[in-house]
Formats: sequence, C-alpha cells, structure tokens
Amino acid sequence: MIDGLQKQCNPGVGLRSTHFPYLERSPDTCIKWFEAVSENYMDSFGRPRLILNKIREQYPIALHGVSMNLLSTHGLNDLYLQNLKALIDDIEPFIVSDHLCWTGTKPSNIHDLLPFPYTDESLKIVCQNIDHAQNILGRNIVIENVSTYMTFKQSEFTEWDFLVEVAKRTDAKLLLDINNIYVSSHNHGFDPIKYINAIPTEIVSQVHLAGYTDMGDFLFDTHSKPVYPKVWELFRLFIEKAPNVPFMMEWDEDVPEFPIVENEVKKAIDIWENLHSKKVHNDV
Amino acid sequence: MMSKSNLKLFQEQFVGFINDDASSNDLLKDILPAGRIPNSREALEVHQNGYIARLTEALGETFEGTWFIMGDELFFSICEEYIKENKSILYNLSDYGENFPSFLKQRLDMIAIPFVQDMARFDWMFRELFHEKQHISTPLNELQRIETEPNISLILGNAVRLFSSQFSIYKFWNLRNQTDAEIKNINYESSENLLLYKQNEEIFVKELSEAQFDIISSLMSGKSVASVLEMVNSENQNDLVSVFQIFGASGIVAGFKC
Repeated sequence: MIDGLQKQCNPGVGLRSTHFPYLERSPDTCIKWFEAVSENYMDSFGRPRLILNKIREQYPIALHGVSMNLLSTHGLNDLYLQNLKALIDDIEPFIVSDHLCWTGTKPSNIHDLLPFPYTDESLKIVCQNIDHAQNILGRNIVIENVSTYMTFKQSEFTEWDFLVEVAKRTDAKLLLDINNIYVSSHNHGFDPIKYINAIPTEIVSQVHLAGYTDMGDFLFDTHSKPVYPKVWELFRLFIEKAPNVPFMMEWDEDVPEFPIVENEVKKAIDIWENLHSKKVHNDV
Repeated sequence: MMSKSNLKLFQEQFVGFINDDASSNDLLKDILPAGRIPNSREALEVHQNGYIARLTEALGETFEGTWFIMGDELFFSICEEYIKENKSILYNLSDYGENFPSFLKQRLDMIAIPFVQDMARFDWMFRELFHEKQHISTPLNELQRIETEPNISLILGNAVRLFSSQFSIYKFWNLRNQTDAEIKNINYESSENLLLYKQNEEIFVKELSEAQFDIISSLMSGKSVASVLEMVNSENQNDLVSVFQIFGASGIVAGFKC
C-alpha cells in the first residue's frame, strides 16, 4: 500500500454562538468538523442545543470541556460526569476532551485552567481521576496541555514528560495545543521543539491552534487573535509527522465573523497540503 | 517530594488567594513566575484578575437588562462586590448569579434605581427559559376537555413563566440595546404582568391584565378549572375567556391532571 494515500487532512473549528446565524444557512466551508464546548450544551435544552443537534446532522462533533477538574484532590463531580455522559449519548462525538489542570477546590469553582506542580502525587491523582472519568463515560478521554503563567519549585517532571506519563498510565490520548506550547515555552524559557519532539505522535488525537496576547511581561492565552508565525512553525513541525491528526482553530474573545476564523483554518490546510499533498502525488 | 496532603493544601492556598486575597508564604515561595512577571504574587494575580473578569462577564451575559439600566461603571463595581461575597460553587459558569437580584436589593441605596431588583429577576427568568426544553403542547381539540370536565387541573408546560412587577420592566428590557435618550421617555411607574413562554423553540413575552395573571397563576398552582371558575364574576368574565384564548394560541398547556 502506498503510504501517502492514507493521509487525510482533518480541519475543524470551535463552534461559537456568534456564528450560529451564519452556520444555520449551511454555507460551503472547508471545515470538516466542529468542536463544541461541553458546558455550553450540557445543561441547556434551548437554542444552543438545537443548533448543536442540527450541526451534528451534517458534521462530526468533538466535545471539549473546561470543568472536569482533573487535578481535583476531592475526586470528580459525579453530577458533572452524568450530565456530560447524557450529552455524549445524544451527540455521539468522535472526541471527548478536557484539560490537564484543576479548576477549584470544594466548594469553590474558579472557572480557570489552573497550574500545578508536576509531581508524583499530582500524577497519581490525575490518573485516578482520568480512570474514574473514563469508567463513568465509558470511553477514553483526551487531555489538553494548558498555557501557564507560573511553574513550581517542587516539580519533578517536565510538562511533556508528565503528559506522556499520564497518557501511558491511563490510555487517555492527548490534545496538543500548539499555541499553549508556544505560550508556555516563551513564559518559562523552554524549547517548544523539544516539547513537540518528546510527544509520540500516536498518542495525539487532536491539535489546537489559537492566538495569544502579548502582555509585555508574559504571553497570555486569550484565543483572541490569528495564529502567530512561530505557532505555525510548530504546527508544521508536528503535522509533518502526524498528517492524520485532526486540527482546529479556537477563537473565543473578540470573535470575528466566521469566514475570518475559517481563513485561519485555510492557512493550516495550506501548510498541510504543502507538506503532504505533493508527497501524495509523487508517491502515486 | 510533596506529601499527599500537599497538593490539597497548595490548592486551598491558591483558591484562598483568588477568593479572599489571602497570601500564604508557603505558596508564594514555591512559585516561579512566568516571563518577566516580577514576583509570585503578581503571577497569582493573573488568575485572580481572570476570576473577577470571567464572573463579571458571566453576570453581564445573564443580566443584560440590569447592566443596561445601571450603566457600565456601576454594574461592574457592583459585580465585583457581589463576586467577592458570593463564591462560585457550580461547575457551569452560566449558572452563576442566582441571588444577584436579592443582592441588588440590599444595595438599593447605592444603586438608586427602584426597579433594579425586578429587572434582575426578569433577566434571570429569561435566562432560565432560554435554556428550558420546549414542552409538548396539548393539541387544541384536547383543550375542549376543560368544558366537559371542569374538575380537572391544567399542567402548564415547563417552558412557561409568570412575572409581575409594579414597574415597567419589560418595556425597559426591550430597549436594552438602545440609547439613553429613548429610555428617558418611558414611565417606569406602571405595573406589568407578564407571561413568558416558548413556542416552536422561540421565546415570547405577553402582557397580561391583573385578572388574567391571577387566573393563570391559580391554574399554574394546580387549582382545578372549576375552582378558578368560582373566582369569576361579571367584572373579570372577559379575562377568563381571553385566558382560554391565550391557552389556545400560545400552546402553554402541556397536559391535564384529574
């Protein structure tokens, strides 16, 4: 079999309510799938859920959560998992993901993707929680690396080694956020290429792209801009090794009209095609 | 190496800083701030500021009408006060703010808008209805059972709400995206009785007379049609007729209870 023929470009985009009116008109698009933020639909049976169901009729959906609280030292919230399971049963997503972070301690919820020390203790807790989530949801979940604005003296692992170890111990896959890798590498002074090269491509199920904001003293993960050139370079590096991994663009603040977001996805497709389409032709 | 209790302690100290500005030396000394952030405290403030911003944004999305009548400066400062006093405990950010209307009532001296609490109640009710599943309406021909079986009670759909205020809340709320000049023409001192409901997945708001409101309230509370008919006198007979017309047109009846 010719290796090149198996390659498939899988571009997606984050589903945002500001784009609902545009998407309801079923426009022609280069997008092959959408990623929906789980919490926006889990407890809503109104218009957002209707639109999601309608889009699901035409496209595959990935569900992406922000509140699973995988580093919780109190265990996971069972109501959350039940409600997520009900949404999963309804939508039948091809990916269910959340973040490698914690979001609060009982009873407070900070609604943020909070950093933690990469220690054996953290590893044990996150693996227990992922196992629990996977048991309740009846499927493997996918874990995303987050941007951070501090590290901790107690850390015993690099972030990439920690991620790989989590995947190894739980069978969870990784959602590699290339923008987050770049933001954290800039903030903490590590080599983002070393990070990407340390992640075995076979454990990556999805890639995120987004734009950050330069705050002067640090880079902030705002999802409010187009993708920066250095992030494109890292994307090229990864997607060259892993052509079939679905990739998508997130835009959450100052969200522009859909075609502008789609334009960022087209840039990613161009990179993909430059790397792989020519190769496919040559192979044929 | 951290002991098991250390991650828990770390998280409690971290949350203590965000919620109550309580800085622990143990936490601060272990943090290596990113980039050129000068110190651990300022690194924590990235998350502390983000917390206030996110919850304010959530309140702004839910309490659109309230934000409109209060203006940016007052709304944001009240939100900050509310957020500091009311920690978020639910996983869904859009569920935050249930007791915001009563908080506004406590701050009425400062806000000086007599109907601010009612506007916030309306915002919250509208949000609830927005996320509510569309009920299945009882078909028109089945509604005729009311005539032949007066001892039955009506079950109103889950996507139905009643709202009443001594102020013109809905008139203001409808103008929430307009300019100040337009709202100045509204007399806020006239009472409103409203029926909010979903039909064909769309939200409708209908103004009711006081008598219509009372009749629907009684039916909603589970009173039988017969007992509601007893409330009718020559003055409100027309209201009763119109209520049944509303039932027919709005699809708010979702069943019967014998």
